[in-house]
Amino acid sequence: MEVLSSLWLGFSVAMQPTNLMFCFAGVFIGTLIGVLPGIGPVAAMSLLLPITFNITPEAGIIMLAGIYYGSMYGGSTTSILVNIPGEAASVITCLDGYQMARQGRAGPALGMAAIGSFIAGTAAVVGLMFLAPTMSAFAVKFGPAEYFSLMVLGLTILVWLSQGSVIKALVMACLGVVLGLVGIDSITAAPRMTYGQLQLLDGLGLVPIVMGLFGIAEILANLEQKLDRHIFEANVKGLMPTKEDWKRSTGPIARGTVLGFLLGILPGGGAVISSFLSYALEKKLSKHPEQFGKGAIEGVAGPETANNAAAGGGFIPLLTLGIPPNVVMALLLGAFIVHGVQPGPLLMVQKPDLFWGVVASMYIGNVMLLVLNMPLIGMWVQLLKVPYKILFPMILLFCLIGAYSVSNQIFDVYLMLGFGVLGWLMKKYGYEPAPLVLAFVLGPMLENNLRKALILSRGEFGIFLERPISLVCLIAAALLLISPLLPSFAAKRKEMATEEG
Amino acid sequence: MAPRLRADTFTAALMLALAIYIAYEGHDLGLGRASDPGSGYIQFWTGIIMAGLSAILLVQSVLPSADKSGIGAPFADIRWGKVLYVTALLVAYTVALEYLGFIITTFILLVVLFKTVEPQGWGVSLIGSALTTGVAWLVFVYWLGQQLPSGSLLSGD
Repeated sequence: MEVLSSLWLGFSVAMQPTNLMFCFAGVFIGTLIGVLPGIGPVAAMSLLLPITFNITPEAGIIMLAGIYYGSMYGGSTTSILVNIPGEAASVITCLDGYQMARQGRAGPALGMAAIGSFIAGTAAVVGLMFLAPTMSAFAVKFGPAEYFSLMVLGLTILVWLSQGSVIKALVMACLGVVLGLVGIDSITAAPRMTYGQLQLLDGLGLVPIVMGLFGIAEILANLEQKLDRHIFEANVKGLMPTKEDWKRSTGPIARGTVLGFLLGILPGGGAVISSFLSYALEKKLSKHPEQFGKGAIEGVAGPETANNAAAGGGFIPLLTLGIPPNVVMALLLGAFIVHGVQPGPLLMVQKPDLFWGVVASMYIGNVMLLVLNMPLIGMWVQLLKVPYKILFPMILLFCLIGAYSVSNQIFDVYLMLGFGVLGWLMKKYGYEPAPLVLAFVLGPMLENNLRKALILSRGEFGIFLERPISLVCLIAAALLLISPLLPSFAAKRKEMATEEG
Repeated sequence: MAPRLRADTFTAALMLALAIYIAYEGHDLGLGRASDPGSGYIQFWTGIIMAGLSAILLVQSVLPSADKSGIGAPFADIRWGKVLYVTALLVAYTVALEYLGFIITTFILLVVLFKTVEPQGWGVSLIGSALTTGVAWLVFVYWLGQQLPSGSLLSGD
């Protein structure tokens, strides 16, 4: 009953005209950037983060959250119609979605993706609603040692799941931690790596770094390739799947929802990995695995469901522990902090209107997304026809405005350009940006909790092993780190490895 | 012929040098004691871990069994032309922004990007640039209340 009355409070916040408007703006922009290749949810959210400075925390967080789960809906459209994923979580949808489009079944593919996304998105919100209070109550017992070890585990999972070399990903995570330390030390007030620059005293900005690594770097990489792409002129009429489609998709949707939600909760997990795992699972369970890759609707329904459920599940560690499980949630953490709100176990008690308002807005957002992605699908198809050579100057401009708007400093624009070139070079040489960004956000928290734990234990490192939760996290992290050395695990990791964010 | 310096060797050496510098800076800040860690404690140890990892990468890159994807010469696969050109344009835009202001600088940047990167006709370039600049100004400055530079040369600041 308490949950229901809290949800009632949430709806009263989410239904306020301003919040409804920002919810719509969020899901609309999310679908838009999901449809457009070349800009993902991370870059879009960092671009719009400064805009939230001028609005209430509720409206700001509702909009940013909408962009994230909205992009999961939109991402499938390009995968199915153009065979280019709009964002990373829809990569796997290309395999069967595009084949369905080639067979004249683009409509049911898009329809099933949207319906599956709606079911998963709504189920994830229900899960979040019931699980978050329990998690928050549990998280109150966490001390600095537990927080430190959980963050180490989160970073380790992200590193483990990264494409290519684990060692390179670890190097990036180390670099991210160090970049996060730039500025005034919160305990001793000593300036670190500021080189006499006043702009560095507050530390490096998250938005310029993310926009550089994910926005500018992506554009620079695209500039090296031929900019034109061919759009599959598919017939997208008849969006409703057939009876047979439903029969084949019910299981994948149910499994994708549970799998995605659970993976979303795990630190380091997220929408991308859940979509890949759902595809692998459905192929394994299918009586006709040979149809996968040739237009099997299960290959669309499962992954598209899983990535939406994961997007919802990812809110749990952020809202209840204050720990972002992936880069997108790291950006949301930034948005919370900018508004003077600290997510964590006390959020539900101290800011119930914000917490439940965001949860309720996700119900509303999912309904809006169903409307945006079913009857209005034709609009997004038209948008796909705008050539990239026309789009990229505009995306560049939005990045420039976004970086400047954070603190109205030209320095941030230079910082973004610097990280843009760095991100482009990192892509070239196989170093991934996601571990760097998550470590950058977690770095200061990691340091604070380590120092607090050591001060509490009077310098005894045993504190991390004496506490059960901390010990479990560290053992899990250690096992993951040594697993690439074992050939069977290495093969499994390679299969699962993909790029987050 | 195999390149004299492999890309992976080059980047690993660069990371190693960076890690040593990070550890050195951390040490300089002060490590403190385990019971009261100083400002440089985490930085120092992160630098040391990073140096160890980079050293492993360095050794891996020179082994005969090195990953074939990283054996090209450091700058062999890079098509610098467009990337350098666009980066230079963006730096120039950033420099000019404070002097000429958002509207003029943005319009010029967009015309140059439209006209030169994947060349468009003058009509598309000029109309596209004017429309994009106008819409961006309306949305960000007028509607969302962002403060974008108005230009010190024009305002006489």
